[in-house]
Amino acid sequence: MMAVGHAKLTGTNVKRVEAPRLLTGRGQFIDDITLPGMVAVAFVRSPYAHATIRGIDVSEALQSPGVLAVLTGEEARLEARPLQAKLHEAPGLERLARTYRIADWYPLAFGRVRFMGEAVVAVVAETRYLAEDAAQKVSVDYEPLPTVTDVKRALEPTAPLLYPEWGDNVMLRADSRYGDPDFAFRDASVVVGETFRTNRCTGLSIETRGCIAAYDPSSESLSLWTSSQIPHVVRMTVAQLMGFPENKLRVIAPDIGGGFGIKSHVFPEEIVVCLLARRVARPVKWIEDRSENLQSAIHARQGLFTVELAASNEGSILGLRAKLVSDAGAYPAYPGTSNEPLHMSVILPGPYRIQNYQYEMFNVVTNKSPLGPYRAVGAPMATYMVEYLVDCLARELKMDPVELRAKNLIRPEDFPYTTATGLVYDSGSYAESLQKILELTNYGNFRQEQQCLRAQGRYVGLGIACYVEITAPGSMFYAIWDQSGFDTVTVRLTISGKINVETGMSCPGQGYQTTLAQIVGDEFEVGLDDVTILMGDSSATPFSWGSHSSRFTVVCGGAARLAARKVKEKLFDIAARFLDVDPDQIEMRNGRIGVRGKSEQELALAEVCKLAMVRPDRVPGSTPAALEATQSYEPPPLTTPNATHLAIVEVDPETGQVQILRYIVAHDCGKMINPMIVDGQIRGGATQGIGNALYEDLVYDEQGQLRTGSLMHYLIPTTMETPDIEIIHLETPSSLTQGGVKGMGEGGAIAPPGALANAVADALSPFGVKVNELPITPERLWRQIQQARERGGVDEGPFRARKNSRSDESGFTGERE
Amino acid sequence: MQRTIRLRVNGVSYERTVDVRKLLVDFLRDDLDLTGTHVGCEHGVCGACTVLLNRASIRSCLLFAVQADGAELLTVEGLSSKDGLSDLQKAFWEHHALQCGFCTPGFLMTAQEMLETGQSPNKEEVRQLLAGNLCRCTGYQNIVEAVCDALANREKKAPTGRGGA
Repeated sequence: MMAVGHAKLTGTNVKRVEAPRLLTGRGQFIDDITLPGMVAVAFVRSPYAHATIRGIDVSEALQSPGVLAVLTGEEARLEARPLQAKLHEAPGLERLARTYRIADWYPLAFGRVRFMGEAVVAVVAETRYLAEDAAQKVSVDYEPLPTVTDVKRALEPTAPLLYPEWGDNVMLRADSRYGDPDFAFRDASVVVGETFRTNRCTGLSIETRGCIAAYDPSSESLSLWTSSQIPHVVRMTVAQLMGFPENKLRVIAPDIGGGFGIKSHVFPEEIVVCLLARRVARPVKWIEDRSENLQSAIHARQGLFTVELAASNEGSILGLRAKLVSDAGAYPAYPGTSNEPLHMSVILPGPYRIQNYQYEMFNVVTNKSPLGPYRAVGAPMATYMVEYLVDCLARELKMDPVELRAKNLIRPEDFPYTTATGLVYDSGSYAESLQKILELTNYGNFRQEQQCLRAQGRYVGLGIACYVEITAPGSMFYAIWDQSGFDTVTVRLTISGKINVETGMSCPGQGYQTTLAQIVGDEFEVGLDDVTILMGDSSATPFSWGSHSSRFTVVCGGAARLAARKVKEKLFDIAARFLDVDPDQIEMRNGRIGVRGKSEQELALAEVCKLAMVRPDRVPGSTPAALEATQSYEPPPLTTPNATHLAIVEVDPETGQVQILRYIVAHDCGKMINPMIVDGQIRGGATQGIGNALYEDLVYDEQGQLRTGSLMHYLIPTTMETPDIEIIHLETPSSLTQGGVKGMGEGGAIAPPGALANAVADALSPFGVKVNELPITPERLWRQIQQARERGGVDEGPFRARKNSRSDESGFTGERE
Repeated sequence: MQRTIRLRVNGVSYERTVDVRKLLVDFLRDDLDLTGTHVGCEHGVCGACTVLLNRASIRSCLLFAVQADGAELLTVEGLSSKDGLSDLQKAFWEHHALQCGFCTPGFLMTAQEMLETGQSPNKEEVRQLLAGNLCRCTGYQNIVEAVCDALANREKKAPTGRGGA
C-alpha cells in the first residue's frame, strides 16, 4: 500500500479548527455557561474616586426580591486576604524590590475606596436583573476625600495621599545609568527632547470579563470558570488568598472573547465570586457589563514622560536620557505590578546602538482604575517617543529620517548585540525591514510629490517607526514577580493512534488550537484532524503561566515539540523490539513507523499504539508504558521579533482631521507556523495601535469621575477608521528557539503611535506642529495650526478650496496589486 | 409585570411569558438557549447583539422581548443547516475573518441582511455597511473581504429554517 506523503502543516495557511463552532454560534464563552441552580451577582461600585467608607447598610437590599446574600468588604476580608502584588528580589534587582511599596487591593473595598468603580458590595440574587434591583438599595455612607488624578500633582508634597502610610504617592521609583550619558550629552552637537503626555487606554475586548464559581459542600471543592488568560495562576492565587486547598480547586478557562492582556491579571471579582459560591452553596455567575469594564477593568499606557536624544552633527545618536512617570492608578494589577514602567525603562533604546543611557522612573498612584498589562505593555509608548525624537533629530540636522535611522540601527554584523540595559538580541532585520518598506512606497519620489501637494494646500506626510520586541522571555525576566517563564505540555496518544495535546494555556482568540495542532501534527506526520488540543482546565492540563508576553508559540510550542519527541522515542522503542532491529534503524515516514531502507518493514501508528498499550506481551523485552509524555521547556532568555511600520497620512488644516492614506508593515517573527494567523494578529494589533494613536482616551476629571464611560466616548476604530494594512514578511529565524519561531501576537500594536505621530508631524511641518500628546486629536492639531498662522511666517502657498477631498489623486493610496 | 409573547425564531414558533423589562438579547440567550447572539455593550454601539427582525437588522440589546411579539427573527443559529455552513459562514472561514469569534455573530447577521436584500455594494460601501459592528481582534480587513466574497457568490435562495441548533 502506497503511503501518501505527509503534507507539512507548519508554514501553511491552514484554516482554523476553532472557526466552525464560533461561526455557528456554538462558542462556549463564560456567559454561555449555565449550571443548575445558578444565581447572579451584581456589584455596588464606588461613585467616588476617593473616600472613606463610614458605614454600609444592606438591610433593605437583603429584603429585595430574589436576594440570597449580600457581602461587604468587612466580611470578605475575614475569608480572603487582599491582592498584594509585589516586586521580589531578583538577581541584580534587589534595590528595586526594596523601594517598592505594597498596596493592598481588597476584593471588596475595606474602609476606603480609591477609584471610581471600585467594587464595594456584592449582591447575589436569582437573576442579574434582581441583583441589580437590590444593589440599588444598598446604602453606603462615603466620606469623600480629596482626589488626585494627575501624576504631576500626585508628586507634589501637598498632594492628597492614597496610602498615607507611604508619605507620598510613589509606588516604585528606580534609576539607572549605563555607559557615560553625561559625557554623551556634554559632547553632543545637538540635543532634542520632548515631554510627552500619553493617553489612558484599555484593551476593550468585545467580550467583557466574567466568571462563575460553584462550591460543592459534600466534597468541599470549588470550581471556577473564568474568562482568563492565566487560569492556572488564578487557581494558585485564589487558593493562597482564601487559604483554600489548591488540590480541591479547579479553574477552567472557556472560550475567551479577546483578552489583550486585560484578562491576564487576577480579578478581585474572581475571589468574590468564590466566596459567594461557598456562602450560598449555589453556582454564582458574574458577567461584567461594559460600564463596569470601562471603569474597573485595567487601564494602560498613560504617563508623563520626558525623553532626550543627544547626537553628533553627522547624525550618530550618542546618548538617551529619560524621566518616565507612569500613572499607576489606585492599585497594582496582580501579579505583574509596575510592568509597564519597568519594561519601558529597560527597552527604551530600542533597535538602536545606544550605549549611553540614563533613566529615572516613577510609578505613581492616582485615583483611577489600576494600570496593568495591555498588548505590548511599555513598548508602544517607548517606541512612540524615541521614534518621534529620531524624526525631530532628523529635522534638526536637516537629514533624511530614513538615513538617520539606517545610520543608528543595530546592524546584522552586530549580532548577538547586548543593549545598554543588558538585553541580548540574537537576530533581526531592522534595517532590512526599513529598506523593504521604502521600496514599496517609492520613497524617492515622495518628497517631491509632498511639495507639489503642499503648494495646492494639501498636507500629506510620511512617518516611520521601527521596533524590536521582547517576547517569550525566560525565567530570569519573571523572577521579579516571583514567577518563571517555562511551560509544560503533555502529548498523549490514544489506542487508535490519535493525538491529544494538553496545555494549561487558555486562548483569547489567536488560534492556539490550530497552530499547536500544526506543530504536533508535523512531529507525527499526521493530519490536523488527528490532533486535538485541550486547554486551560487545571484538572486536565499541566501548570502554565498563561497567555501573555507573546509566548505561546515559543514556549508552549517548544514544550509540545519536546513532549512529542519523547513519545516518538517510546514508539520507536516498541517498533524496534517488535521488528527486531536497533532503535536507530527506525524512522517515521508519512505517519507510519518502519525500518530505514526497508519499505516492507513498517507499522501504522495505530498498530504500534495497540502493541504498546493493549498487547505489550507481544513486544519482546518491553515494559508496559503509556504512550504519553510531559515535557517542560525553558525558552531562551529573550526572543526578539522586529518590524517597521510606515504610515502616509493627510491632515486637513481646517479641521485637524487625520486620514490614513496608506499603512504598511514589514514584519519579522522568524519562522511562521500559520502566516494567515500571523497577518491577522498584525492587523488586529495595528488597528488597536491606530486607536491608541488617534481615538482612544479614558478621561477622568479632577474629581476622578470617568467622563468616557461608554462606547460613545471611548472610541475604538470601526471599519471606517481602519485602512487596509499591507504586510511584507521577512523571516529571520531565532537561533535559539525550537523551530526558529519568535513571538508575534502583540507586536502590531507597538509601532502605530510612533508611525502616525511622525506622519502627522511630517504633514504639518510647515506649521511646526508638535505631536507630543496622545491621542492625536483634530482639536490639538487645529489649535497648533491656528497658533502657527497667528505667529505668521507659514508658507501655505496658494490656498485651494477643498471639495470632497478624495486623496486617491495623490497616488499614495497605493493599490495592492 | 409579565406578558406572554409569541414569535418565530429561525423558523421555530415559541410562546413564552416574560418580564416586560427583559431585553430581547437576554430572552434569546436565557429563555430560548440561543447563546450565539452575544452581549457586548448593552447600549447599541458594538453590534455584537445584531439579529434580523422581520428581515431587518436590529440591536437586540436595545429592544425588549415584548417588542418582538409577533415577529420573525433570524439569529446566527439559523444561518447554517444540516448540510453545513452557509456560504457566508464559509467565506468567513476561508478569509480568516474571525479570531476570538465574539463579535462574529453580529457581523454575520449584518452581512446576512445585505445578502437577503439583494444589494450589490462595492468594497467601500461594504465597509460603510459594516461600520456599526465593532471588532477588536481582526482589524476588519478580512471581514470586508469575506463579505465581498459572499456577495459576489450569492445564490438567490432564502435562508434555511431550523439551522444548526
